[in-house]
Amino acid sequence: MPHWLSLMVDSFWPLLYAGVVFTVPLTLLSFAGGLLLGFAVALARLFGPSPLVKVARFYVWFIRGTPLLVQLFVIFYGLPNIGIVLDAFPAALIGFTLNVGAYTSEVIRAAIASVPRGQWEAAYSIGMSWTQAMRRTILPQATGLAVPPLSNSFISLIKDTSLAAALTVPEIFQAAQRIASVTYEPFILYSETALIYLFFSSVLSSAQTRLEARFGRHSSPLGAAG
Amino acid sequence: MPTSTAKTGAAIRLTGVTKHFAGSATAAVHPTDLAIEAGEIHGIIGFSGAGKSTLLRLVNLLERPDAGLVEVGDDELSALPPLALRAARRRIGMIFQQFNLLHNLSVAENVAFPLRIAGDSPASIKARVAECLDYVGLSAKAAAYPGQLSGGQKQRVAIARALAPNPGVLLADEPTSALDPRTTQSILDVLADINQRFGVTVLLVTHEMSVVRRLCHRVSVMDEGRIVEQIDLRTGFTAPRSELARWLFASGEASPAEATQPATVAAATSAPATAPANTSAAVPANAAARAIVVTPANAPFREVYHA
Ligand SMILES: Nc1ncnc2c1ncn2[C@@H]1O[C@H](COP(=O)(O)OP(=O)(O)O)[C@@H](O)[C@H]1O
Ligand SMILES: [Mg+2]
Repeated sequence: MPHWLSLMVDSFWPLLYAGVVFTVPLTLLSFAGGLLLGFAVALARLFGPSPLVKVARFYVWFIRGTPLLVQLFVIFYGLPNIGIVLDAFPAALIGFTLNVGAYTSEVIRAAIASVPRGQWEAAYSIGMSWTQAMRRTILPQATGLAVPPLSNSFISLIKDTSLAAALTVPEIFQAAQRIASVTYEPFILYSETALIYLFFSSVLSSAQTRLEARFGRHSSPLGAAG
Repeated sequence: MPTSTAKTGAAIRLTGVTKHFAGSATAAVHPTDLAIEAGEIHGIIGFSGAGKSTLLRLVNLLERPDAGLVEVGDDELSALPPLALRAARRRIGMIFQQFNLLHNLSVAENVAFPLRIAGDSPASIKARVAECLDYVGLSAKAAAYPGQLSGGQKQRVAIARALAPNPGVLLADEPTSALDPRTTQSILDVLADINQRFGVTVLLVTHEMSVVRRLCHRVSVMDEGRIVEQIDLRTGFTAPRSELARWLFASGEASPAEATQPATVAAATSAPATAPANTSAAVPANAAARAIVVTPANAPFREVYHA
């Protein structure tokens, strides 16, 4: 076996392990948390009282206007200065969740707002409450509109988790750096790392395609004049 | 289709209702009184922006009045707490220009929805949905989705959905304005039939005089947030007094030929079979009034009220 190939094979399992144990959980957990947060922020901005709207707007403005890496550094390296010490993984999880929450709140807000006003009126006119209208007719339609952009955010997130390496989270990229620093073969290792990210994002993209097909079925905006 | 019993007295009564949208210079609806008789088909006509839709939406409180009283049947809607208001809304059907079917639901699910919200049993919902879809002639489309229907079919589904809870009152906001003339006629026929057969009171917003002529018993002419005139199309005729009403009544989507067409001819083309042939007796002689013909579509009303 040529040297480069045995190097790749040797490092394959540690990299895959880092992906399965750190990258994937970090991605899934922060995306789930970010979605919940984004949903709450979207509702606050659309329907909340004005102070809440202001807080929500500030949050989105702040997160979208600052680099993710800087946000992660503030949380992990900065907060201990004011007495809040977090382990690397929870710090990364909080950072990614806040970041995902800001971006997805904009997507969810736009999707809910783009469900035609007539759908609310029809729902109210047949005696639904706000909650019923939201759950039974507005959200199902908004979901169809939100799934494609949300799954794009999800794919971006998988790749963005490589920034957690800078917080010492032993995810894929961190593992790669560690191996590269002892083997002195950065070209081979980082190329392999790229392939491993490619593998994870491809697997998750195909899940995305299936999700879109499922939610897009009867709620395409083209069917809107109904 | 079970019949709803015809009510007595005013079916809808608005007393001094006003609506001023935040940020606009004038009120959309100035203090307005309006009483709709039970069993009546009442039109609200006026130009775009006159406040017709706002007035209609005040009836089921889709729009909250700034002041005034909204009564529908025995309920004072404007005083009801949320839960009771939602229950009251189930007794008030509503249809829209853009149909507003719930896109994520099938035709049958759309019609079933008000009944499910009301907590009816699955068996009775199923029966009622079948009955209502049969009434509007769309049983075959029960499993279709709104996106797969034509405009006329969508409006029929919307009518079936509005009728499902057996409402005493139906609100219609430009229900035919997005439809071609033939489909318009078929929808107007359905509305007339609902009124005649089930005694449902209909309050209908339109900007088309032809719709008023073909369907309404009375019409309120609205301009800049006020009802400027009310005209009764049943009792022979009172000539329109306001300039707007005169203009509306004299102008015409209706050609002179159509305007003076005897009801017997119209009956042969588009009328329900029950229309008596002598309904044109009341056509008055003056020019403005010539525009109004008691069409077969509103002829059944004469039976209800004067027989
Ligand atoms: N939700 C709303 N917010 C602000 N202004 C509104 C709203 N709905 C209607 N209006 C205004 O109120 C006036 C009457 O509107 P509307 O009742 O829709 O008229 P019409 O149905 O006769 O065309 C218009 O000037 C319109 O712009
Ligand atoms: Mg209108």
